Amino acid sequence: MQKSDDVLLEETQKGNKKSFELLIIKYEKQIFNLIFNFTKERDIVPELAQETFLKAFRSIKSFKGNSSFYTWLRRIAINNSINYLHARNHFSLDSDSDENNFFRNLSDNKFGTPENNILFEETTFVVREALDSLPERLRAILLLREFEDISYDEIAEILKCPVGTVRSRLFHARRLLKEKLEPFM
Amino acid sequence: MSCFEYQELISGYLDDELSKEELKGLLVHLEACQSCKKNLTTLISQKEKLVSLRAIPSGPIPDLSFAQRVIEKITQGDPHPKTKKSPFNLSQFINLLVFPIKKPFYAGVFSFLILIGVLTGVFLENFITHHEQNKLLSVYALQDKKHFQETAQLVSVEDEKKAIVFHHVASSSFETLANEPSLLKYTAYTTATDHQK
Repeated sequence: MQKSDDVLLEETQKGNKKSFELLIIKYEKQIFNLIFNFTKERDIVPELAQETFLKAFRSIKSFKGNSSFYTWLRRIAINNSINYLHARNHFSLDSDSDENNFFRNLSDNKFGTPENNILFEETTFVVREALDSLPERLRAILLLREFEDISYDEIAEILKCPVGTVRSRLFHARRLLKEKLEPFM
Repeated sequence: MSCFEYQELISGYLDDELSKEELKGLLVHLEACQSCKKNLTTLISQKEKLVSLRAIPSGPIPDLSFAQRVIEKITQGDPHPKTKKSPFNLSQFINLLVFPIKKPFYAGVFSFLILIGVLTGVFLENFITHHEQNKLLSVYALQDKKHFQETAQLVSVEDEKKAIVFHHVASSSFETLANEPSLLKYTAYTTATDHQK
């Protein structure tokens, strides 16, 4: 039996926009979350998410089904986010400018509503804060690996750097995260 | 290798991105180094915590009309170009006249037509239609049956046509030529061809 995504994709490739709307509804939350994890800017998320879906629709005919639709869509969202970070001039593989911002906002509520705050366990909150306090270049690489489960080769392709750099950056990211979390563990 | 260097291997090990040799080397080191072993345990625990964050959304939640807005945006930028006829565009038309060949397919067709033209003699104006040929034959047959019989021995139709025209012109009076304008058209050509021979 054909998967529902495949059916919707086929219909979208024929130009059926209603089918694509269903795909958007299915994946919009994941894409919003992914973009926010990278950019950390709530206001820009809807715009980048919209751009992601528009790009996906425009190039839907080139989608050959070698991966799942979400994997393909996620790649577009990641590239969009990375491009945005580049354009914002905050993202550089060589930048260490925000290295010392550890726990700068620990006392602030970054999760929006008090209800959300209650839901988060303290450990989770601390880990999230530690992750967010990493330099952008290290945070991005850690997100690609731990959140998106992307291989070294693919990360190297996304960040346009050698695989060796990916490995050493991940090592540095983990080491720094460990140092930041040590007092709380 | 120092413990610091093995730390990088531990990180690679967590991601299952080590070569066989690297993995063997790391396992040997871990058996002997308690500090690195402890670090491995810590990093595994850290990775588990990070992975658990995946499932907890922290970003903004899309509003109910987000998908609809994207579709509207798509519709605005995609007015069904296949079904709608594009309006006449003067600059495109001029462009087409100036640069008519843009695609290899059309270039191929154009080249083929040029080749056919050259082979059939269209561009040299040595082409006679059946209608013209019949006219010539009938005019000539009336005037000089003897010469016609001689030229009829020629094998090539093209040569036959030329011979007919040449003999006709050579033997025709000015009045005959004036009464048959299609003959004038070939006078210069047939004469020149004959001189070349």
